[in-house]
Amino acid sequence: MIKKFVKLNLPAMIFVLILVFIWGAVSESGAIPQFILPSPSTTFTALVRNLPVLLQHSATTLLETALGLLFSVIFAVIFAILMDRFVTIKRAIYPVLIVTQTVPTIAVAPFIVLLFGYDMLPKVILVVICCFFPIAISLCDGLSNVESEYLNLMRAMNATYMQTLVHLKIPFAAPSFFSGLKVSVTYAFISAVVAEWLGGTRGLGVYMTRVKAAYAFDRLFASIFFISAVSFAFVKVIEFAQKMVLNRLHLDA
Amino acid sequence: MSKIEIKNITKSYGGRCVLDNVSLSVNANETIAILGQSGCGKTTLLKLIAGIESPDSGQIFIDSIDVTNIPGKVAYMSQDSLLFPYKTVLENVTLPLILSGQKRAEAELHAKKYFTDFFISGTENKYPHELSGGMRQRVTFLRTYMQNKDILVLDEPFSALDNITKTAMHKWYLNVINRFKKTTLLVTHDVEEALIFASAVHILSSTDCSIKKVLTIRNN
Repeated sequence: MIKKFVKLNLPAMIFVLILVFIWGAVSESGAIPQFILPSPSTTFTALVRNLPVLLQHSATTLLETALGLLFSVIFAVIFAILMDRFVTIKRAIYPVLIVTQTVPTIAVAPFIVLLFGYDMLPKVILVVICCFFPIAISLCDGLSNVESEYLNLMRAMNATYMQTLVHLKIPFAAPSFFSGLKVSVTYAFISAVVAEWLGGTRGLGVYMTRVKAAYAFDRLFASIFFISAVSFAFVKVIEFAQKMVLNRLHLDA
Repeated sequence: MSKIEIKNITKSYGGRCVLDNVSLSVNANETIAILGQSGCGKTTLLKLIAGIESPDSGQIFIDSIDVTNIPGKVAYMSQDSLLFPYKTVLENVTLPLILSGQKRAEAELHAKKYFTDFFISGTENKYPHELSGGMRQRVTFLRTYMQNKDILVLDEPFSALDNITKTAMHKWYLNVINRFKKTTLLVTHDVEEALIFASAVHILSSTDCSIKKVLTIRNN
C-alpha cells in the first residue's frame, strides 16, 4: 500500500521539492530581499513557532467555513430539487446562477461586509455564495440525468415525484452531488479567509492582514501554507465521505 | 370479453412511424407473444400499454375501461433488469409494495413467501451485483409480480442471458406461468421463446409498422 502511494505520488513530490529548491535559491541569492520573500526554512520556522496562534485563529475560520458549507448544502439541495421538479423554476433560476458565477467573490465581499457588519454572518454568507453554485448545479444535473429506463420503471409503478426522488433520483445523483461538493470545499476555506481580510476580530484572514501590516512576511507565508493544508484536508475528508457513501450505494464516482 | 383491447394505435417519433393502426386483443390468463425484428416497435407497444408513452391516436382498454396514458394498470418489466444497485434483493422486490403504501415489515413478510417459488431463497440481503445473470432476472420477475397486477407486460425478459441460463429460465418460467395465472404480453425476437410460452404469436413488421400475421399455437 505504501509502495503504491509512493509510486503514485512520487512525481508530484519531486516537483514540489524542485519548486521549494528554486524558491530557496531565489531567496538565498538576495535577488529578492528576504523580508519580502522569506526562505523555506524561515517560513517553516515561523509555521512551527506560530502554530498555536494559527490554530487559534483557524478555529474561527473553520467554524465560518463549516457553517457556510452546511447552509450551501441545504440551499443547494432545496434549489436543485425545485429546479428538477418544476421546469419553469429551472428556466428562471439556472441562467441567473450561471451569471452570478461570473462575479468575483472579492468584488462582492466589501458590499456584503458593509451590509452585514464585521461579525461572523458576512463571512458565512460569502462562503455560501461561493459554495452554493457548484453543489446546486451538479446536484440538479444529477437529479435530471437519471437513466430514462429507471424513470419509466418508476412511472410504470405509479410512483409519485417524492417517491421517485427518494428511491431513485437522490441515490443516483449522489456521485454528482459529491463532485459539486468537492469543488465547493476547495473554495470554502479560502472564501472565509478572504471575507476576514475585509474586517473582523478573529480568524486566519484577520491574522494575515495583521502580519502583513507588520511586514512579517515569514508569518504571512506560514499562514498561506497553513490555509493550503487545511483546504487540502477538507478535500480529503470529502473524498473519504464520497468513497464511503458511494461504496455503500454500490455506485461509481 | 377481452382482458386487454388495443384499438388502432398509431405512434411515431420525429416523423418516423413506429406503429401504424395496430389493434390486438388478449383474453384473461392468456399469454401472447409479440415477435419482430429490433426496432419494429415492440417495446413502444409495451410502453404504450404500460402508460409510460402516449399514442398519437388510438385507445387501450383493460377490462373495457379506457386506460390510455394511465400508468400503473399493468406490471411492466423492461428489457434491462433495472435492479437498484443500492438496494438489497428484498428491498428491490418490495419496492412496488412500498410505493403502493404498504408498511415495510408487512411488505417484506409478503414478498418473502415467494422467494422459494422464484428460486432466490437466501438472496434476501444480497445486492444485485452479487447475483448471477439468471438470479438477477428472477429477482426482476419477482419485483414485477409484486406489482400485484392481473396483467404482465414483459419486454424481452430473457434476452440478456446466455443460452444455458436462458433454457433453464424458460423451464422455470413455464412453471411460474402455470402457478400464477396472469394475462401476459411477452415481447421477444426469439421464435422458440414465443412458441414455448404463448398461445398466440403476433408478428410485428418493421416495414409497414403493423401486425402482419397472427399465429395461434394449438398445443399450448
